[in-house]
Amino acid sequence: MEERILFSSESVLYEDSTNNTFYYSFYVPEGCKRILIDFSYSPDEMEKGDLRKEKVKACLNKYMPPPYDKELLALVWAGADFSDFPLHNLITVSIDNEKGEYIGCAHRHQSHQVHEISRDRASYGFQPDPINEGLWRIAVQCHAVVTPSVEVKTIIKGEF
Amino acid sequence: MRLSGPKDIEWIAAELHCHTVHSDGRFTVESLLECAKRYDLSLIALTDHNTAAGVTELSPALESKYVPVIRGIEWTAYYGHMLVLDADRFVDWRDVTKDGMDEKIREVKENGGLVGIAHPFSVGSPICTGCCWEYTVSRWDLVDYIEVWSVGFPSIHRGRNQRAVDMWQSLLDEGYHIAASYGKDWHFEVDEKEPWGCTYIAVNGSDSDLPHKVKDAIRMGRTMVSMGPRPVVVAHAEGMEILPGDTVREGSDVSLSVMIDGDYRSEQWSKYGFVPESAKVIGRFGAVIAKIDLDGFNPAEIVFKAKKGHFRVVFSGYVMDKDCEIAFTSPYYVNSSEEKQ
Repeated sequence: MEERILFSSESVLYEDSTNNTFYYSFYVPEGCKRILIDFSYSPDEMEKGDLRKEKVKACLNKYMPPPYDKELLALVWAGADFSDFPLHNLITVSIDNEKGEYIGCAHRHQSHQVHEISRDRASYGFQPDPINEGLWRIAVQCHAVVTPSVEVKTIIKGEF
Repeated sequence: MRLSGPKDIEWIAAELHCHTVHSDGRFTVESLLECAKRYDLSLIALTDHNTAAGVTELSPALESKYVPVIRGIEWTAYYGHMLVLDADRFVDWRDVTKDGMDEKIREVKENGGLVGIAHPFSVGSPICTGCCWEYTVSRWDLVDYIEVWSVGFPSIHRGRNQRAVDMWQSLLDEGYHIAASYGKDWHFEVDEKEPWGCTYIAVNGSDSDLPHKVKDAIRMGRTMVSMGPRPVVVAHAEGMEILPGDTVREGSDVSLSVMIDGDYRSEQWSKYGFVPESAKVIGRFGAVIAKIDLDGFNPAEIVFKAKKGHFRVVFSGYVMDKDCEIAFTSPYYVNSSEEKQ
């Protein structure tokens, strides 16, 4: 079984990348039997500290205004310590085949993900696909970048 | 004591918001279905975040062994989460803008899908990315349902839930016809130390083809939202038996026989100590049209004149010694006599 890199990318995303989607096309040659996607980003979460606490408080204040959440807001205003409240980056990948058909997505908090797609099987979140030659597409969706920056690496290999 | 509703109508318990390992749930597809059966649910909707891959694991044998499934997906977009059930084809949401959701909803509806807004007032990003509904929608007439209650003890944990109910009530007051749903937003089996709910849905006839019957029922607005027990509302107006989602004329005499069913699925909820105390008929702008005290799980009668707009029945009482709402119906609608029904 021969393995070839079909696409690789390293990029740095910033907080203002949040709520943006980046599309990349990659060519799948004839004879490819299996597609392997190695997707990772780092760091995974925001470091503990005042900045994180402020972000948590700002989020709660924005989305849980009075009068409905007096108790929660009271905690916020009373200086409740949110230092253990984690804030994660969340970046996901979804894949379209050469016909533009949606193959799936792995929407979960997992900063290193390895996926495979072939005719007979696919990793959780993706559907099996015959893997035809053509221009495929990967969408990198930045649901949240909470750290000042995040390094994103994508390697897509084909197995022949 | 029992109340019987319309012939051939059965109110079944459903969970319309479920995740598996295909997104961020811990359930496998089979363990989700097994759990649903154990919770005495009659149907679930499989709504993984941004994928329908779990659907490929379903089979008639699996659904027959456990519970039938409506195929769905939860669009987990940047400014809101939307439940899309049983669309004929994939509709791509990844390019939706904050002002562009109307077009996407229209596309789903054109392809036969149901549209439900999930937990519209959940805490949003970055704590829960996109979980609060911030899309601009002008075509609320195309929205089938809103998940107005979600997760545990919704009428006590009022943050997200009361605001969602208020939003729904405002849309009803504007004249839109939208059903209500409850969502466990089920990712794994929770040690439920307080009541979690379900959506009751009125379906016709036998158990055959339940997913399509449920889909039709939701589209028609035939739902009730509960923290556990099944409400019973037998409503008559204009000489007919009517269900939530039906329309009657303004000024019609409406008679309701109402109760909380003390038996159905009681293993799931009786441990929380439900004590029904009252049933209210709520109309436009939250006005109380009628109210009656309930003697526990026994039936009571309410008679009133239909006022323009809509009305729904809200059951209240004590749960875990807390004074709160227990369940409510989706609206019945009231047209003025000159309006076409």
